[in-house]
Amino acid sequence: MRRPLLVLLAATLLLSACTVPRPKGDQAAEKVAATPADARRALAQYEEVLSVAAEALDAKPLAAVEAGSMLDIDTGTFEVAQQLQQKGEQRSEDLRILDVHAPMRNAYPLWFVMPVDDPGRDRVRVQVWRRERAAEPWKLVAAPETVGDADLPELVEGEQGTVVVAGREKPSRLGLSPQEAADTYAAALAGREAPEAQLIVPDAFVEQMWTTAESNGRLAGVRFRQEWRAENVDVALRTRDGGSLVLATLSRRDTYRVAAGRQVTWPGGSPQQAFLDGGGISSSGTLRYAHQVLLLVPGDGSPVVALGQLGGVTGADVR
Amino acid sequence: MRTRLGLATLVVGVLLAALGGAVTALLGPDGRYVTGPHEVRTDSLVVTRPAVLDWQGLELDVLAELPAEKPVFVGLGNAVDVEDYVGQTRRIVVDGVGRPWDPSYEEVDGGANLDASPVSLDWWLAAEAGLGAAHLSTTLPDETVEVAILPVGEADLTGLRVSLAYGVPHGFAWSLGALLLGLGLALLGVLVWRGVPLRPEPALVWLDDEDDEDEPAVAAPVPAADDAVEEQVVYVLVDDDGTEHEITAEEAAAAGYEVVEEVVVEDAPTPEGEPR
Repeated sequence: MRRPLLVLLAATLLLSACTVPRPKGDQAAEKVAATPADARRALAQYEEVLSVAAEALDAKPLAAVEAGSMLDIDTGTFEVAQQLQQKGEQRSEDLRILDVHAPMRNAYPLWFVMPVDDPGRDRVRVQVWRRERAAEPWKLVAAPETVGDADLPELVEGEQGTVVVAGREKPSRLGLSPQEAADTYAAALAGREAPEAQLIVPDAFVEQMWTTAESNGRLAGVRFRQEWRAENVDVALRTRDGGSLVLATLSRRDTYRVAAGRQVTWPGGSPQQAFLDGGGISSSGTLRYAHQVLLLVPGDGSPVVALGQLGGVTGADVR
Repeated sequence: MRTRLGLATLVVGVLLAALGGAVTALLGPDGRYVTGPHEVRTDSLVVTRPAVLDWQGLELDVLAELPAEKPVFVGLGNAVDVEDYVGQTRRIVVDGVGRPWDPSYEEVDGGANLDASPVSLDWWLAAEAGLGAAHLSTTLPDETVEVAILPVGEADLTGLRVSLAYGVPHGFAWSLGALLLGLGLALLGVLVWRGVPLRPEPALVWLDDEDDEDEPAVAAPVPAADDAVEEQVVYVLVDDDGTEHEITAEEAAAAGYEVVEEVVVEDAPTPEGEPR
């Protein structure tokens, strides 16, 4: 008779201890950058604004939900669509969030990575969201689309289900740091003879860039120069193999100097033609591009692999 | 041994009862310790440091009142969010509240206005806004948090009065329970200390009898403690003629007699030499 009473008393005390206030441990200011609920809310709001912008063929509302190169690329896309009077690309209604990879952060800006399946286009977009200030909303800053059937690598998990940020230092003696990987990839895109080309896996995107540059370089009466530059990397996640998953934003400038009496033109309906107001370059001109590349940097020193890419024309200067 | 056990139980009971009584009196039936309203002289905004809210599981109520129905906002947020939000704004940073109300704070210079209205932000863990008053009621989470009292729109916090309440979930019930449990333990300790038997000593015990479990066996009386009342058990056999014969327990057990009636005579004065 006494034993059940004692057990009941002990259980009651233990349960009550769970609700009893107690001092917190570490008082360091930090937080999980975003919860799945935050991610869902941000995506829902984004889709709402994007549909309004697409309907009106007006990129201005996008500034509320996009930033950085993403806004540049989409603004360029909208400008092209506006000039060509084309509707935007068909958007899928049933986007599916595959995962939310959020790091632990102790200060703003906050960011997280969210692969989203777009079954309508049979693609996975690896969205990167960033919140610059607490007073600002989440904005989409990158969304490279996976190439072929590329799978994302397994990421190192931190506390509370977070992911671990890859720092600026080299992950191992053999591997590249995130910034080194981005710089290497940009340098390799300059041409297949570049020494850095040996440090990357030449995929379809790289081959296309090389081929385009070689074709433009062979244009008669045209001096063509292509420049690639990697911007500062601030989104990189540690992978389980000791490497990293890096979001690299590359800026590209194609400069044409055309001899008198000649003109460089692009096919009708192309973004380049739209940015050049339907004409071509007859003296000199520069087309600016932005490319977001999702790089897998192996920890064993193997060549860097591009898992996804998104890019577009962002501007043109013509004299 | 018995004395020490009783004393220990008594001490534990008294301490528990004192603690329970004190907390019961402090919290009251609503389970809250309330202080305020207190006037806070500022026209900017008020933010606490994380060290002010260094307990988790504590229930916290903050009532901010402003005159003339001015709009006011009270929010609890992660320190990363709150610091970034108010970091560039002139503010009062509360380092400690004191008990019951002896706040320490510093004034930090900065811009006059916040970058966005607090009601438009989605990262508050708990928040309330109102005209003339805002009442935040929440339980402190296991993360580094800060409370902010902020103006809304063109209003400022001139004339601000703040009331605070701290509570423990089901605090009144638990403290009352501790008080009663402590009193019970104290009483138990006194009884044990004084050697009062906590249950009556049995005169008859049942022994296992494989042949007839329903039939009680007669057993020898349990020896009583030296300082307990001495009991004497007498077995009386009533024959067919109604004549009573006193027999021993062994005789009763050997003959398989059944005890059909028990008569207890307590403290009955028995004349010397006269059988009961």
